[in-house]
Amino acid sequence: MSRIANACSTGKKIFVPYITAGYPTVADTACIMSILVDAGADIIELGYPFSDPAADGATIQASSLAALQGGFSRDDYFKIIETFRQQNSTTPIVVFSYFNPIFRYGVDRFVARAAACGVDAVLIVDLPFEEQHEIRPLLDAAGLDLIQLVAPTADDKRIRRILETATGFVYQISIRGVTGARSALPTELAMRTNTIKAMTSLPVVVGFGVSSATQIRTLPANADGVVIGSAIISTITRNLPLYNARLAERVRELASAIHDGPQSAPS
Amino acid sequence: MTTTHTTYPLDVQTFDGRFGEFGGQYIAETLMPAIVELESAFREAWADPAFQRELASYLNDFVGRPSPLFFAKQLTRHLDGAQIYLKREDLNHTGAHKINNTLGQVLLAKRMKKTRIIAETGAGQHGVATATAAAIFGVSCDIFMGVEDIHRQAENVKRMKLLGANVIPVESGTGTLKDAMNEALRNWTATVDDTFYVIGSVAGPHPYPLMVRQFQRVIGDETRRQILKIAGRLPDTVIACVGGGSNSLGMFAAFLGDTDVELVGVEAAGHGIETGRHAASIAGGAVGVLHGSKSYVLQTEQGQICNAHSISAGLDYPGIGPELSQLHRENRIRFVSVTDQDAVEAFLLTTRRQGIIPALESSHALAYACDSAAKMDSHKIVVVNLSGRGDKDIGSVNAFLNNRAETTS
Repeated sequence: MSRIANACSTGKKIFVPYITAGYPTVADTACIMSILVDAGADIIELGYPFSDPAADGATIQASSLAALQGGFSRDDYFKIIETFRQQNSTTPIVVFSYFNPIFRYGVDRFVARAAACGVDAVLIVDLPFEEQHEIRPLLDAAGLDLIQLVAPTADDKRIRRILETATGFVYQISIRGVTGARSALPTELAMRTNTIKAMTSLPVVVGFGVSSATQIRTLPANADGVVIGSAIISTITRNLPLYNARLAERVRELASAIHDGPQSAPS
Repeated sequence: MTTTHTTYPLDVQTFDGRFGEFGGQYIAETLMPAIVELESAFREAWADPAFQRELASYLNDFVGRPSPLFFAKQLTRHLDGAQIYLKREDLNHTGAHKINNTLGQVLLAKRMKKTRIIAETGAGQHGVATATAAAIFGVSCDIFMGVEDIHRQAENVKRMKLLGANVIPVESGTGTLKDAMNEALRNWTATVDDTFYVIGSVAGPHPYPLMVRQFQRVIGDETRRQILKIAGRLPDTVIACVGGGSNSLGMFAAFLGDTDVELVGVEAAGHGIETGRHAASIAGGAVGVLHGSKSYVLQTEQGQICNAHSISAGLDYPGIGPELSQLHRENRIRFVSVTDQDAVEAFLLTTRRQGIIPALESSHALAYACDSAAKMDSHKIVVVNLSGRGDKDIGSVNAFLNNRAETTS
């Protein structure tokens, strides 16, 4: 069983925190990943900082810029994962990136190195399935999942096409818009989750805009997990430089809201 | 004589968005349904004679087309070389070629029943042209503009506001065109149901590079007819400045099949290509993906996008349209670059000798044209796309000259 399939088979909703690699520093990142796991993370999305993150809101933009200004490099990204894997061989890691840094390095080199250092899946926010021929064959050969996003703007026909080739888990985008905390989530969310779940047996995790335990309790009962990014980055930013304890506390709070809340019916 | 380019198909109805390796649709999944909808709406509108008639009527009576092709006699005499003709896009309503495209896109937006328009702008010319089209067609309009450009182009900001547009300052990144485009994309992702994004360059995801090229090719189609009428033959060389590439591709598109006509794209060399402070994606970039398409992009070895630099805000962009990248690769367009310094010299020369204040963007094309025309025989014909007027740039030119006076005194 793959690490992702394993992480999704706990019988509870899964918690997928996002963090930006290199934020606040490269040296801190592997340590933050361990804090996340200790506090209840089931899968980690590790953001690859990009200069022009057009699909991200202000919080993740700022963290990416700070990482780049701190001198973040491609080698740092892989070293962070290697360091984390020395202590943890079970928690799945999803690369969350824009396409250009991968393309510039060489898609083949990127995939080979990601696979070698213990990455489980790749999610590329500006590579819709129309362009996934760029990387899919290489990921398939390396045994890595290409995580598919399903947006609220997609019709059933598009969702079906996306799901045909999906592996790992499916990422349901909750809102029209970029990443970042929102006060309210759309009411039709659960219906969308039902639509997606009717077309796939893969776990469906909901993300974009989710930031609090209160909000988590309003999420569709039938979702299999939740992605939270900006709220975690904000917690780090607000508590710099000594953010560890507050981060652990906040992540535990979010994790327990997810793990202990209403659970989806076993499929 | 054919005017169809031969190495890739470019039929609007069947074109798949790939110019060889370049182009594509590298964009957030949330936007994909809107992009697919836009693609089919554009195809349908383009094939509809009623749409073409309505657009042509606005281009004629509202923009003032056709714009003249003007023999620059004084400039020609001064340089004592090839005959220089200027395509007077500076005489268009709103003062640049940008209006050709924004009228087309806003008419399309109306047809698609979109009630809100957004656009990014650098120099403010595309913003003004979009605000103008939104005003005449009665749709609400938000223009995203970097804070640095708002400062550099204050007059255009005032014009947009007078036209009823909201100008939204973008502070992220370097506060220039690429950041404005990022922010416009973010906004569009959140408002995609009722909003039409008017991209001003031949960049972005398919169908934008194709659509903007088609709306701008009126420049080249007119020029080709005009020079045949005036001179009885095609020009030897056609020159245009290139940032994202809308004025150049609009001009070049009509001449791609005329293999005897040399096409020259002039990029902004800023302080000089060797300094790294420039905006020349072909001369100093590498193939990458930015703002929805694959093309030449200014970037680091790590794949992070670099900040462009040019005295001209309209060329200050770290990418170039995908079709231009392909035409570069095919050696159909020759790319050269001109520094801030040389562009300002050409700006001054054209103003003093020819009585035309050209946009700093167009001054890059003029600089290369003057330089090469001076070395050519007098029977040769050079056409320069004078893409916009330079009233907006007087402050930038004065600041440049004052700065130069200080550093040399």
